[in-house]
Amino acid sequence: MRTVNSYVLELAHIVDPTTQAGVEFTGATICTVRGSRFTAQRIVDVYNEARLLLINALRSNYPKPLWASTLQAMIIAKTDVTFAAGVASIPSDCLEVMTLENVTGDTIAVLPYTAHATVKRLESAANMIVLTWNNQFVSPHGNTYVPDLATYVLRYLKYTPWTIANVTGLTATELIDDDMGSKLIRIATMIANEKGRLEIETIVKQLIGGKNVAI
Amino acid sequence: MSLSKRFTVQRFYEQAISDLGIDKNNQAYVQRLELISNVSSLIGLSFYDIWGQYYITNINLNPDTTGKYSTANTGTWTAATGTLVFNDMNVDFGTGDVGKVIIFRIGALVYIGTIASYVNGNTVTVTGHNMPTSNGTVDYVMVASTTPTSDEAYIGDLPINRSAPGMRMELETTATQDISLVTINDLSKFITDANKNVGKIIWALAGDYLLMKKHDDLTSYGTLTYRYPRVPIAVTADTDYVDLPDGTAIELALLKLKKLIMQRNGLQPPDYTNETMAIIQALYKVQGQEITLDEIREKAKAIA
Repeated sequence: MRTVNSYVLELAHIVDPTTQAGVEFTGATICTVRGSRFTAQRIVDVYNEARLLLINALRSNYPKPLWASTLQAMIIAKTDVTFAAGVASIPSDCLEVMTLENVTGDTIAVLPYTAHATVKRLESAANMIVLTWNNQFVSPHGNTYVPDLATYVLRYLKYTPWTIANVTGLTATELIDDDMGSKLIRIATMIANEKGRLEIETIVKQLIGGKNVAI
Repeated sequence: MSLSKRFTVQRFYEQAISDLGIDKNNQAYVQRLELISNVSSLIGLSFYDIWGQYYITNINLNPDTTGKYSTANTGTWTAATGTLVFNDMNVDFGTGDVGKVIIFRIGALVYIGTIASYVNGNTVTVTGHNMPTSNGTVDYVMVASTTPTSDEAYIGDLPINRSAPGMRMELETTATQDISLVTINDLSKFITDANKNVGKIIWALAGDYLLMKKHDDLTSYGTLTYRYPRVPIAVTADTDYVDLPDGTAIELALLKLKKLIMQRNGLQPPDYTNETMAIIQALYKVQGQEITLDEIREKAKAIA
């Protein structure tokens, strides 16, 4: 895996290779000054937009086992999720829940609130359920079956956009492999060159279609 | 006892979602017990002609739960006469206890037999298999009321497959060898003191009840064992075993479960019709039973 700095620099060399003064960007100077076309923030925004587009294209075009394997570096565990009165907050950087478990590893099913009417009666100590709404996990029966504890383990797909500081800091690592990284640069290039959204998404699907991922 | 010895609910469900490549965060997972129970029922009953024999179940009919038990001290067992004496029962033995099941403990050994005759309030004789062959001190006694006190026995709470093709319900008794199933009409005409009916018990099925009549020479209906074809047992926990025979039944059930899981998730379920038809055809061939192509299609359509 490469650094965010190297990817943004690669993108800049394609779409905006020099500063306003005509000096070619390097790893040390990228995003410290604006380029000929883009401000530092704009090029980071373009990069983030491409990143999110790629992630969402993987999630919508591949079954979970496949994209979860591709994006494994972005899946993290939060081991101190706290339920009180059957309610816990969903982390703000959570893009998608992978699993929610208690400390002994028992599965807690995470369902959308639309399932409330049909699943409420099925909740039990052996069949724990939480529904998602209002940016929270909510158990249909309060803390009866999901007791008040601070040891629940949430594994989720984490997404936070990179910042200028991540680029200039030189150390932040992009959490996708080099193959996906090259696709990411191509997508970012299209966005920077203001290709139409439909065209971009069509190309994205073609790009990710060739990925051979072991489950 | 469930028929499968390999597939618990957990294992069965996890195999289905592994095949489909989906995880547990969905409505189908939460409803897995109901789904698997429904699938077991569908597959079990759709092919009852093949594996119905495995669902035949015996049960002792207990008309009531008021039994008797020893409360203190010990009693005696006399091997030569099969006599059990226990003075401290919660209720003394009576003539109505003849034919009831009796369980008694001598040291580390527990015996189960049938009360053969009443001697007095503290004494009965007992017959059965593997009775103690030497005299001993009886530590504990329990008597279960398995002899009907009336001419009917309630069976409404039994999971009977009342539409089982070619399956007979049978009733046996310790009171006589001559017991037979009749119609309700024949039951009503039975004369309890006629010479021709000596030693006979007849029974008929009437909704949730077994109706019985016996000749007057029989003191009781004895201990009744009812043998019936049951429906597949519903599962209630992840550790329960699926009530289908291992092998083809499980394969068919797995196809159906996968389809239901996809439907519950709002996804297009795969078409397993051809696969299902092939399994059904092979199943009947192995069993040496005839089945037409139309019948195969009908069964596949119902479950695929």
